[in-house]
Amino acid sequence: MDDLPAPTPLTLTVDSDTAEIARARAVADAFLADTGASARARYAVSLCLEELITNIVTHGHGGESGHAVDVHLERHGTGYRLVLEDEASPFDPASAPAPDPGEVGGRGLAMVRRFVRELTHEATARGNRLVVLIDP
Amino acid sequence: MAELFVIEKSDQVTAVGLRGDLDTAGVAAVETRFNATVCPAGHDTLVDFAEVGFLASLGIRMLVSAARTLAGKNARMIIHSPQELVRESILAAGLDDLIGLADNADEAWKLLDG
Repeated sequence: MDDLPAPTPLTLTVDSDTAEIARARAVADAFLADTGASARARYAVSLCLEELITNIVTHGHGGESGHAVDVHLERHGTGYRLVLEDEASPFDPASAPAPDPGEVGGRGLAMVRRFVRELTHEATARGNRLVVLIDP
Repeated sequence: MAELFVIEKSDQVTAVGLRGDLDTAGVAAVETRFNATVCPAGHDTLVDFAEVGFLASLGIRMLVSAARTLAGKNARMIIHSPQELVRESILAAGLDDLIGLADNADEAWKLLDG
């Protein structure tokens, strides 16, 4: 039996504004639902978009809107591959320290790491590329 | 959009519930009322999470901030009845020392009694 064709990857661009995150999550979740993703995969992608775009907006652009964040989501083997590309100063989330229990914030990346198989960062000529691998 | 509902407010315990997604928009919708309901009394606080479908770090930040205020008044916060993936988010955020976590309301009340 032939394998089913891979669904067309999802590509969208959002502004560097946290108000845009809900739109990105909704579009990504519809794509995942169409491809039969598990509840855990859908939650993981939503969490990645929420936390990683928030980081890009807040830390990468100092809360300034008007900068593009490209979102690419596709099937990757039996799981999913999410790529975020931005125009911000180079920042590798893997270099961020573990959250301090005494601090109020700083827990977003720890939460993301819990739900993904792999999170890698690459500095690009334009800014940053984050590649996230998510189990099905 | 998230909502807060008050279950019980006595001289000793505040019991509230949250409903919806605790993401950027959800936290913006409930944070002021959550803090106003939970923090001034300084009582032990139970938070019903059964109807929370998504928890982002902004939601964690809201909970940690309130729990620290309560701790300063010798009161505890206990979250109970979280859905499986939300429970995993709570554990990943490393809140164990600051906020209690119970599978259901009965267990949460027992934690307070203990």
